Amino acid sequence: MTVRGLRPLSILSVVLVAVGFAMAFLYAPLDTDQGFRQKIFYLHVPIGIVALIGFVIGGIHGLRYLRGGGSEADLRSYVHIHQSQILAVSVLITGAIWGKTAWGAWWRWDEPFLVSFLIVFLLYCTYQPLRLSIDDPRRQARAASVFAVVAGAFVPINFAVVRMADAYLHPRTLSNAADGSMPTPVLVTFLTCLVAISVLYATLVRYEVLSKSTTFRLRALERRAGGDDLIPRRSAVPQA
Amino acid sequence: MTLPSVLAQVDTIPEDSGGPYVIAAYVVFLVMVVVYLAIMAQRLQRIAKTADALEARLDALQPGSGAAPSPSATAPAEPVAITPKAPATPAAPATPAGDPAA
Repeated sequence: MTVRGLRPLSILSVVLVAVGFAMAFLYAPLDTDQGFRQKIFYLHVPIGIVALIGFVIGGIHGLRYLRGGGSEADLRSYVHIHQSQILAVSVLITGAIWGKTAWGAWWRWDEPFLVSFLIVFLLYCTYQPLRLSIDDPRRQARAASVFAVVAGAFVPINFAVVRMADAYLHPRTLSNAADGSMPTPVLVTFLTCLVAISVLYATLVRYEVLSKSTTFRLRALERRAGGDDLIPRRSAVPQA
Repeated sequence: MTLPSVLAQVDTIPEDSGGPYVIAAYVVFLVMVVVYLAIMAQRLQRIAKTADALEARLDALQPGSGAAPSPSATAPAEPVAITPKAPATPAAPATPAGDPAA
């Protein structure tokens, strides 16, 4: 992957997000139950899915590091988790906004999906402090990879357990899709938004990986030049 | 799909069905993406400054480099590989292990 490959990916993500959001407002029909407020579904749910998948991918890269994948695997694990944390914040905010307009409350503690997602988010909030607490880069990478693997395995288990629970207040739109009851325009719009958010996520991940790997290369050049590092060293960011 | 038709849709956003909340949700997401990109741009500027400082340092190390322009100033830009060039065996750390600066 080079800088050259980022430009078409960036353009593609902007186009897809624009198309997806336009379809959400202009193509998808109004929901008979929730009306216009259901439009948040096309933003909130794809972000949530991509965030959870990102956490799992972070765990996979963590496993790669533990199996001898090198610092590149640790870097990718870190970036995937970092990006997923940003998306998770978006999920919580958009979910709260949707809850406010649909239920009249920003948050409900009796809603399993909300609380379980909050638990996952809070779990990953400990990732950077864990890294920062370990000075030695290799020990830091190893501990962070173990965390990424365990937490990454927790994500699908947590999701499956919540889905199997009996009491629901949250709309189970995806299960409706499995039943074939989701209207085609809604399904097409949802899948378009899902692809758009996924491509945007992949673009941002590559930007961050490129930024950090370039920093590493500069640092290595500084060492070869025999001078002090110009970049502050103590960080939760993986060290090359 | 023309701009007037889009604006006509915006004019018909129903306030009684959470219209402002829906717009707020989308705006929040877009703002977060823009803020993230701004932070990335700031980091990129920092990287560029570091590269400039490094270039100046390397120029100072080379004898008689003051008269000649640096190669990077004249060479065409090449794509940057994303993966750091990792050695086959782990390189010796520049500072002792456990050092916060390592």
